Order: sequence, then C-alpha cells, then structure tokens
Amino acid sequence: MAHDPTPLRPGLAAILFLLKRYLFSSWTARKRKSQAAFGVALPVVGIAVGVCAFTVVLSVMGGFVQGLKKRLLGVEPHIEVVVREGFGRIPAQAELLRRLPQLSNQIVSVSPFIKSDVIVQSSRKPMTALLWGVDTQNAEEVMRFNSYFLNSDSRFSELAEDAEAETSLQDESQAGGTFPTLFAGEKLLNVLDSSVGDRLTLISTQPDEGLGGFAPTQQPVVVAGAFHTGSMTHDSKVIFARLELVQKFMDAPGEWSGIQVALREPLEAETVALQLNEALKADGLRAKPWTESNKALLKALRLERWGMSFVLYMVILVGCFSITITLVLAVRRKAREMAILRSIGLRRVDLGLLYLLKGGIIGLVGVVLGLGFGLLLLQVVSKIPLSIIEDAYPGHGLPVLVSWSDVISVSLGSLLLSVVAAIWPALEVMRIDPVETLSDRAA
Amino acid sequence: MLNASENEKSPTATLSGRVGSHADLAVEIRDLRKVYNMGEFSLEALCGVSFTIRRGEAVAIVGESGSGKSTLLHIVGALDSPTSGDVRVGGLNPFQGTDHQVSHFRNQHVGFVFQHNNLLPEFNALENVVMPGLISGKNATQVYRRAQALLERVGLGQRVAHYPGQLSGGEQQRVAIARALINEPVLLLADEPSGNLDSRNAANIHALFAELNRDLHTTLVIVTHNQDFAHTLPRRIEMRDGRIVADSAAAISSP
Repeated sequence: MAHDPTPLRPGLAAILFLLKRYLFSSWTARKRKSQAAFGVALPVVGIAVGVCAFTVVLSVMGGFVQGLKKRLLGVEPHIEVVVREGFGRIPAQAELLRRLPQLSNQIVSVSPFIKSDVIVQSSRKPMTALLWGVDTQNAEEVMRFNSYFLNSDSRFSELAEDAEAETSLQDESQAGGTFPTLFAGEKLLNVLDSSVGDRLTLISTQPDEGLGGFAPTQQPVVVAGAFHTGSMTHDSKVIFARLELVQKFMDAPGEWSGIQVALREPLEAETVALQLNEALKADGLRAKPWTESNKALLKALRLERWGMSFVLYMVILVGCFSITITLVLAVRRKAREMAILRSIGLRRVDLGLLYLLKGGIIGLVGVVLGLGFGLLLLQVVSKIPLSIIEDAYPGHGLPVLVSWSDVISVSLGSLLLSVVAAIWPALEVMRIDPVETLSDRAA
Repeated sequence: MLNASENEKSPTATLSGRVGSHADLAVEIRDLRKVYNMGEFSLEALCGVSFTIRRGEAVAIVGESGSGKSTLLHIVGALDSPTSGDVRVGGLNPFQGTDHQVSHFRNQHVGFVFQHNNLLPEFNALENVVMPGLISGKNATQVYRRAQALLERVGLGQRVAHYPGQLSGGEQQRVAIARALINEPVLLLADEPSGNLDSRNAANIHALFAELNRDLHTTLVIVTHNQDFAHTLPRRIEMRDGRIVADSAAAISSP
C-alpha cells in the first residue's frame, strides 16, 4: 500500500499567519488581550533599552577616546621607519623614499631625518638638546610645522641657506660671514638666553678620534627662528637644521636615522605600520607608529571599552531573559490552542519554529527601536551643550564617535540572542501532547 | 473479516446505499491494543479490537466511560499511537514515518471534532476553517473559497467573520465540523460532539451529521453516550473494557 508523499514546507503560510495574529493583533484587540500586548511590549522594551544604552555609551566613549588620542598625537610623527633591531642608523636610499608611498594609500608624504643628541652653547651656558636634521624640501609636508613657528613666515626651506648673524659670541674675533641656520624651541632659547639672529655653537657628544685623542666637533650656527608647539619635549629640547649639515656634523654622510611618514588618518597608524612591516622586513627596517610610546594608556582605554561592551551585553542578556519568560508563559497559557493546531496537522517542528520566530521578531523590533532612539539621543547630546561637562567641552555637546561595526555587531548579536532566548519555550511547546491537553476536562 | 461484507447488498448497509468493497474501506483495524504504562501498574485501554468501516458509512461508537471508545477514536485519528496491532485509514498506515508524516496524515486524511474548545480564539470562523488548508500549503484563494462554502453548508454563512467568543456552543461545533472537512478527508471523527450542548442544539448537530453523510457521502465515526443519537446512525459499535462487545454491522452481515 503506497504511502503518499509529504510536501516539503507546507506549514509556512500557516506559521506566518499565526505569527502575525499572535504578535500584532494583541495590539488591536480589547479586554484580556491587553495583557498579551503588555506581555509582548515588555521584552521588546527590554531589548531596546539594552541596545540604546550600548549605542549611546559606546559612542560617547569613542568620541572621548578619539579626542584624547588627538591630544596625545600632538606633534609626534605618525610613523617613523627605523632600523628593525636596536637603535642604529639606516643607509640613505632615495629608492626607499619612492617605494614607501606605494605600500599604502594612507601615506600622504615621506621625509628622511637624522637625529642626534648635541650640546648647544650660547654666550651664557651649554645645554643638552636634540639636533634634528630635516630634508628642507619636503619636511613641511610631512611635519606640518608652519603653524608652530613664532614668525608666521618661517619655513623649513630656509634652513637650506646659510645666513648672517646679528650678534656675535663673546669669544669670537670674526664679525662677518654666514652660518648654517637652525630653528630652536622657544623654551630652549629662553634657557640659553638667546633669540632669533643670535650665534650659537653646536658641540657633538660623539668622540672624534683625532691626533690628541678626544676632540669633539664644533659647528657654529645662527638662530633663524623659534617655535612653540605646546609640547614640553619639543619646545625645550629640539633644534632643527638641514639634513646635510647634521650628517656632516655626525660624520655620517650617507645615513639617516629614519624616514618620517605622514598619514591621511593618523589614528590608523597601527594598522598601516603593520602593513608596512611586511614589506620592510627584507630591508631590515620596521615601521614604528606613534602609539608605541603611549602603549599603556591606549591599552587601558581599549580594555575599558571591552569592559563596557561586556556590561552592556549583559543588559541585553537580561532583556533576553524576559523574552524567555514571556514566551514560556505564553506556551502555558496557549497549550490548548497549540494542541488543536497539532491535531489539525501542524508539525511539531513548525510549532517550535513559530516560537523561535516570535523571539526573533521581538528582538528585531527591540533592536530597531533601541538603535533609533539611541542614535536620536546621540544627535541631541552632541549638539546641545550640557551644564555638567561645560568646562571640559565648552560651547558644544559631548564628543560622539559612532563605531558602525560595533552597532552592526550588537544588532546582529541581540537578534541572535533573542532567537536563542526562544529555544526553551520552543522546546516546551514541542513537548505538548495533543491528546493529553485536549482531553483535559477542566475547560 | 475483510471479505465478510464484500458481496452483500443490504438495504440498510449504509445510509448512502453504496456497496462495500475492498477498495472502499475507510478504516481497517486488526487486533488493536493500547497499554498505558503508569509507573508500577499498566492500564489496558484496548485489548485486541478488530473491525472495518466502509467509505460512506456512518458509525456510532458507544459504551460507558472507561470502555476505551475515546482511546480508539484518538488512535484512528492518529492523535495517539497503538501499542500493537494494525491500523489502516484509507489504505494508509497513519503511524508510518516521522512526526512530519503523522502530521501530514492528520492534516489530509482525517478531520477531528472534539467535545469542546475546538477553535482558536484569536481567529474568526472563516480563519479557523481555512487553517488546515493553509497548513497543507494549498492555494489560499481556493481554500478560502471552499471554507466559505462549507460554512454556508453548515448554516453559518452569515457568521463567517465572528470570533469563537461571539458564537454559541452549537455554532462553534458547526465551525469545527466545517474545519474538519476543509481538506476532504477520508474520515470525519467526532468525540462526543454534542456532549456540551443543550438538547435543541444537540439535535441540530445530529441532523447536520446526517446531512453531511447523505449529501457529501462523508464517512463518519462518532463516539457518543447519547443513546438517541446513536440509534439514528445505521451502525453501532458497543465497547466495554477495551473490547467490542456488539457491532450492528456484524449482526447484519454475518450469515
């Protein structure tokens, strides 16, 4: 005797019909059905609150961290390409300057530099400083220093030319001649009791093997300009001179300390540095992002963000518990109707699917409401100044940075969790025995 | 057993006057047993029941409570499964396969009417009737059309948009009957369909069953304790303690 075939997905129309009626009709109905409406609204609100909190808190946190990073970045180079091991110098290779920008489309410009500790002496006293040799042609492109010069007309290109001094040092006999130029930090000049146009002497800290033993190299220079960056280390220590002068001074003619790289997005420095490292390994070089020197703080901030995300996910989890409870109660209350559906041929798995979908829809509506409300709240908070934080962010509202990848992952995550929350109720409803339930005389 | 009534042509064989034959068997039960195991002891609800029902027959199953009549009906309707024995409905074994196949059977081959609470309260009469059709995946327009016709057939053409809460007990049972017929099943099974109704409404339901059997040639198997109703049906099977003790068809067809 033949057994007739079973169609594959016959119940879908019925499931959707049931779903629509059970979730939405409770809104349009009256009397006892208002309890059902409340029952559906509560878990939706629970999820919405969790998603809203997640979006708002993490976005405000993100905005704050971004502001902090910008302050840390300050005048630091985005990336420095230096020797891979140790602290040595690298050979000057024009070819490398051409190759670097091609390795990443984030790179705006590159410029070689050479640095050395130095002693600078004015008529008054010697001071230790950092002598920074720059490529006068493209240093500005990479360093964006023009705004820091005290004289708004100062440019790195000036360092290419020697200049006359306006004053001379005490112990000097010659009054005329031109000298290599340099820019010095404002605070350094104050300590040296010098100003623009003054003569200074650079004294090398490296031993120079001469006939009589140690005889440090000396280089007369003239101050062409000063700068103020707001960063203590720069303003009290740094002296800029042209690359060729410093190379000669350090007796390192064909060498650089490294190559400074300017990026489109300095906050992407770590990612770009990783990319560059791959290509630079063969040359014995590595890319050092600016975040390296602030590792501890940045790590702490990252950890805090993870912690906050975790806590907010727990809020969403609690919202999912309410989905579970609501649906389990619904199963208990509707056991007879589910039994009737089974008796007219609805499959056990389709009943389970019905409840999984219920959970999913509750989650979906909750996520949409939570996101909508959260983004609206962020708009308000970023535009309207709040009295609490007036002194920290005067004039405008809280800094906000929405991480869309986080928003998408919390949305999908919440949706998934709400379906998982419906698993137990689905198993409960699948356990219903039609005969047992419908034979119950207590109706 | 299967051949007993094959060549008989009796004026009271069936309401519809059809001749029975092997291919026209709606139900074939052979040595059906049902045992409920409840902890230490077990209950034998059915102790070897055998009978057949031809298409188009209208059969009443009577007996005291505890006689096993409801259990028998539930098994024929594939709501409960046998412990042992052979069950065929419309030539098919309802219990073959997974829950998918059993559900398909319930949907396509039998229509079940319970004593009460047959309907889904959040759906109106028309929607309740179409539900088995939607579950089967048939074309929705056709199903709705057929449901409308069935509701008119049972006398509720004007009440299709009413919800169960707005219908009387008798009207609810009529909706349940219409729903049971939506997928043109082999059998219509009813477990005390008029048990909760007053005598007037009960009489209406009984008359409806008779009409359906006569006009649509629907095979009926009705469990009832209402003796009057049982006597209006051409065949009565009486059960006691899980066994058939009397079968009016056997009385007719035995030589």
